Amino acid sequence: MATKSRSKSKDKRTRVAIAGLAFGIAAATAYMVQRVFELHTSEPVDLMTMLSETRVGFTWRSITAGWLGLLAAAASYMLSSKIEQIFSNRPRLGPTLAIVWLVCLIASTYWWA
Amino acid sequence: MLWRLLESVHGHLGILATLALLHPAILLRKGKVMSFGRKWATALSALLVSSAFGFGLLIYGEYRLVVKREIFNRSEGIGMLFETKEHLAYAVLALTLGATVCAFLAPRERKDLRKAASWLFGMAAILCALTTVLGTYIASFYGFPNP
Repeated sequence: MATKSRSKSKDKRTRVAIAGLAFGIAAATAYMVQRVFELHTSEPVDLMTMLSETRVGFTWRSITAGWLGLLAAAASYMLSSKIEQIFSNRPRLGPTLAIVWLVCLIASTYWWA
Repeated sequence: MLWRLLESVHGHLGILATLALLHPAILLRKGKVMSFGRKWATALSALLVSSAFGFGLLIYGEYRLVVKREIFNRSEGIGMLFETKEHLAYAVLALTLGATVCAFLAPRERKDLRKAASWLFGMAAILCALTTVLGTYIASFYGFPNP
């Protein structure tokens, strides 16, 4: 009985740990996607208007990205065994994706340039 | 005076956060069990990143009124670099919080999860270093006026 509940607790901790990783990646991605979308769809910027708007924009982008990150975390909590299966069969997939993601993320912040 | 001081504290916390993030990235790279030292390193890096971000939010209102407008007036490019720094900072915070949760909650035998957390800490450290470099450059261009 004790062993069963211990393994259940381990399983839950594993799921939450995977959800944590998913939150980090998803929230940062969601933020950048929103930012790139805004820059792509907006017209040439009036500096004075932008100065008064950026605070609101930043706050909402952050909240929305955090919310999407939580949704991604909840989804990965549910699908943790499938996610583990994908990554355990391909040991190089995780690091490769991490490097590609990092480069894309840095590049996306210079979309305005 | 106060804003200038807070701006400096924000910058220093950013530099400390960059260094602190490297620590769990190195300590967890082999996925070893969370010892007391590893727990400390992980918690401290999360605390420093959150504090640096919090200080940034704290001074942002005044910064926007006093400094940002002037930066954009003098150079739009550098003004946009500030925007870039802001976005990178959010990514650093999200990655750090996610990696911290993972590092603390991964069961003892799950080396792979702690290794994944170390990758996230490493990525956060790189982004935090970029943020700090940009922040220092922008502050050297124009910041809160000296008393």
